[in-house]
Amino acid sequence: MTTVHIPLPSVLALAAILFCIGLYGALSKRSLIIVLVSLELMLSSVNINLVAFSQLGAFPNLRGQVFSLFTITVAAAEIAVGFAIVLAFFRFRKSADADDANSQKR
Amino acid sequence: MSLYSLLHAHLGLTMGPLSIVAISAVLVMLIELLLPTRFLQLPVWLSLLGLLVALVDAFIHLSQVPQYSLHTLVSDGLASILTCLILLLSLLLLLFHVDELKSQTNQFPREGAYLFLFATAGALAMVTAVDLVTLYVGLELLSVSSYILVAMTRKRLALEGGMKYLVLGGVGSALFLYGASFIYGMTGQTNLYTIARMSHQLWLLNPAIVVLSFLLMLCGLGVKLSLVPFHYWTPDAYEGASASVAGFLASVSKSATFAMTLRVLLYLFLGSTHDVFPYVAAMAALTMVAGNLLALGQNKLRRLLAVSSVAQAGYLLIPIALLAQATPNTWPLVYNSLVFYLVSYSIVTIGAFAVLSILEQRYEVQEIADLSRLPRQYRWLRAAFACFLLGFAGMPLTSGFMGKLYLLIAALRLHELWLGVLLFAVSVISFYYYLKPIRTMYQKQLFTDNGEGQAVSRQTATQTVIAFCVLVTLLLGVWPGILLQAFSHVQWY
Amino acid sequence: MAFLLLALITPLVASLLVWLLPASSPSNNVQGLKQPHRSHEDHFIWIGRVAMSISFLCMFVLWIKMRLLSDVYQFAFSFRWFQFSLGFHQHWTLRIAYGLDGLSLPLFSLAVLLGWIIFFAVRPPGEQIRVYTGWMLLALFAVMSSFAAIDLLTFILSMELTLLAGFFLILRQGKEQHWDAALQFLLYRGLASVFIILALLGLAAAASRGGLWPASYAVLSAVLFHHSVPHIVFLALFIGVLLEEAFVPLHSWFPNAMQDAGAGVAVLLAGILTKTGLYALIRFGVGMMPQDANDYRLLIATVGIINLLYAAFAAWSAKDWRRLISFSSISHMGLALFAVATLRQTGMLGALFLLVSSGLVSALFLLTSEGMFKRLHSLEFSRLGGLSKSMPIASGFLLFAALGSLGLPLTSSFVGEFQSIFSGFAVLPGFAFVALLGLLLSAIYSLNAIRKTTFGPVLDSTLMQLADLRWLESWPLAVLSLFLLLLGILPNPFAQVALSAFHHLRALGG
Repeated sequence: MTTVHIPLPSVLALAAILFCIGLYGALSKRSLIIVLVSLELMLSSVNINLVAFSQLGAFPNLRGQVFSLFTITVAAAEIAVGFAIVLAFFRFRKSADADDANSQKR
Repeated sequence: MSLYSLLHAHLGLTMGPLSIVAISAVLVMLIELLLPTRFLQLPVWLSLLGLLVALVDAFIHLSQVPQYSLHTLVSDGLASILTCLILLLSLLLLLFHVDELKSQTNQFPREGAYLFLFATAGALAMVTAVDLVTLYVGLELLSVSSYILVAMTRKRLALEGGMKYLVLGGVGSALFLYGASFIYGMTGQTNLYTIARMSHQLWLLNPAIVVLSFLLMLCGLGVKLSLVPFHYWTPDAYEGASASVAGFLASVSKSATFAMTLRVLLYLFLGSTHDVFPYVAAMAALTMVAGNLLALGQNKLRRLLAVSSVAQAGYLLIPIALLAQATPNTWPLVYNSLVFYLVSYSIVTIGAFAVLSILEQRYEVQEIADLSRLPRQYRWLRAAFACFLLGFAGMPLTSGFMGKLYLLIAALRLHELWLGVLLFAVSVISFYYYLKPIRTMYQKQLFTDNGEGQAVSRQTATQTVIAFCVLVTLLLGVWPGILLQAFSHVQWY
Repeated sequence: MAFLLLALITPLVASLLVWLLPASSPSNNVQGLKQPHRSHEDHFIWIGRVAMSISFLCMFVLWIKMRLLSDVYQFAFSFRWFQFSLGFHQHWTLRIAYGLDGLSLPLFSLAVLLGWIIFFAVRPPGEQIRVYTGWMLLALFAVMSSFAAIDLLTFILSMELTLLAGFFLILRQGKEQHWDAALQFLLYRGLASVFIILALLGLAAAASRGGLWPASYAVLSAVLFHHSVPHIVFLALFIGVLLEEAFVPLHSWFPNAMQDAGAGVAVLLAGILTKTGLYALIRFGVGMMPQDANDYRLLIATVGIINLLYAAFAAWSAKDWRRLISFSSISHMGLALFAVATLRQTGMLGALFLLVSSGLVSALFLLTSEGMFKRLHSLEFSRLGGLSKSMPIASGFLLFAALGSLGLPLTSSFVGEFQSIFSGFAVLPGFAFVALLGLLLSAIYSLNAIRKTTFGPVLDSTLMQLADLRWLESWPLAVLSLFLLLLGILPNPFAQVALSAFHHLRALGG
């Protein structure tokens, strides 16, 4: 079996770019769905980081992959709760726009 | 790990309370599912029972020698004291949650009971775990349960608050994890003790990544602690949630997260405390100043308490910032002052929210100005609220004063005097907004109640909670020795 | 010891008693049938009267039993309170500790005397008596305990307690706009106590040896006598004192609070609460950091003189009695501050005399003018005039207070002013000369005010029909005048006790 060797920095760079996209999206997008997707994106980039380190890092071991399994599971739960709240909110306002979720504008 | 060593791992000591709470959470969830709807209160009482058992268990084992099991859980001083504190606080909150369930104005679903338990279990995991994976799972268990708890009443404000909390909390978790992933990448380890041994080398090899991951983790935890500039969710979440949930966020969640922050940051960055902890000091200063200034303009009681909890988080961050100068010889000072202030602040917070829940249910008090509607004969309630507000402000004879004095002494001892000075200077600002409600309550034109207040069933449980909190606040203010004496025998780490 | 404990604890116990007793309900009072002088809460003020009388008697015993020319703390007793852990095997043990020496006994007695007078001379409106008595007793306990404390934390705690009690007194007792005044009081004095706390902790840290922090005054002054303290500690203390004493330019809270306060609260404020700051300066600044005090002598003297002059001018231009009294009190404190700056035994003695007599004079002024206020509902000079005809007794007391204020020989103020100026000429002659001018000003403004009030044309025929002070109103004034005279005619016993506290200044060349 041939292994394709991808250098660690490139993988880290990919994760960093994904993380930044996710951070930008979570903080600036108006649609709540997109915000949740961005959250998921950030957590995925963390997973990429962990898996990359567990394979290519200074001390390769399986801990990183186990960690990423936990992350995936917990993130799923978090997003499920997020969608539940969005749904309840949508029933209220018929809108999934973040601006509508700001009755405290000052 | 062989079976033999598993048997000798003191599991009962390290994870006894945690497993009791987790198991009772699952049991209550099942019972609630199967139970007909008319047994409204049974799940709550069962949850209370579970918490009580766990508290007794934790209390019995308080003075035992610290243990370490499964490479994951410890029962050192910080873990056992915080376990007791968290269980006690949850117990108090659940007690006045019982009264909230009874009230007609608040359509509170029954799921609250076991969600409280799950969140408490998460908090316990956060204070007992020494492995990044377990810590993360604990953090998320607490956070996800809190998101649901906030949004649970399905009122408009609740949904908004829950949504904001979820989005920012998610960002916080991601930041924390991203930082943790770098630590894992550099060491290949997730255990705090192992990483602590390597930390000095780590700092020598790649200081830039250490600083980066420190900042990421600090910001991530900062969101959960509602430090400035990550505090935006706080007023909305506190306003939307029911009083007991808001109290939970402000006390249990904050205590657990502060303990975790202290442990994680200290152990992971042991080799570079001089270089990274000044960032915490800057953040503490920013939070104290901004939190107090923001609170000046608040007119709603809920938001006032929320923003003041931001300021209080700034005070609580001071001991952690002091780690920059601390040596192992003076760490007990840091631990002592942090935990003492945590105890005092949490009790005062729970008391304040308990009073608030009575005020909201009986007199629909929202704004500070509404407090003048409080009839004359409720002088004990007014006195209790005043006592809590003075406790927040750090007036003498309340625990808040002793807590702040201890923080100041710690800052002086560890040569970060400016933080202590700032703490007391902004406390003077805080007098203004903490005294505004007191002034309104004690205005002269109070009327006598002719039974106009909404007919609400007697809130015995809430009153018990308030009485307990007043007692502890005054006791710790007059005789802080009872707690400090106990702390002096604790092996914190 | 037993008497000091008794004197201290009675107001505290009485205050707790007041809070715990149920408030009587006003409901069965039919409108129109309200008796003007009797109130359903009358028994509360009697609790205060009895408690302060006990303290008052104990005070006499303390004076008799006080050993002269001894600079150790007498009647001392302490309870171990708790420990702050400072690290491994390092603790800061804090105590509740009380004791008196030549410096604190006179001020302690002033607090007791004025507290006793307040309860007999002033009665607030009926429905406020309970709250008023409770807070007043607590404030008196706090201020007495801050004078008698001989441990840092006891002092700090008492000081903060005065803050709390004072705030609620001003808030509940005010005439109008009391919220602003109370808040200002709280913010200024709160900031003051922040600075003082910082300075005191700095003192403890500077005196620390091997991780052990001392907290008792005796240990602190013994250790610090041989060690220098960072200048910043002294400066923090000094700023704290300026705020606490309402010195220019940080004075605005004091006239505002005085303007709106009820008479009892005003006596507390002007007579006692504004004496704690200078006490702290003498106790900690001069007593424990003599070297720093010496270095900043010119600064202290300058601030003192500025206060003396500014406040005298402000008092001159005051439009009513309350404002005049508050500024004249500030002005006297300015002179006392100047006397402290001389760092000589005579100067300290002068400052102490000034503190006590300014407390007495302010109380006399305030209580006399309160008697007029009750009848006229105004204390503005423009509405007063010719009162000597209708109210001869009140006018007499007012004149006596004014003479005491300007330092007539045979009053205690004269002793204080004379000693202050005298020691000032020995050390800082230029400043002392200016201070003399300030005294001249004080004669001008007080006599001017007297002229406008008691003599002068009668503006209004109603002024002619005013009833004079009744016996119940005038005997507290007589007691105050008696003390003012007693200290002026026989200053020696008092001075001997007080001198014992300033022995260490001799080593400084004072």
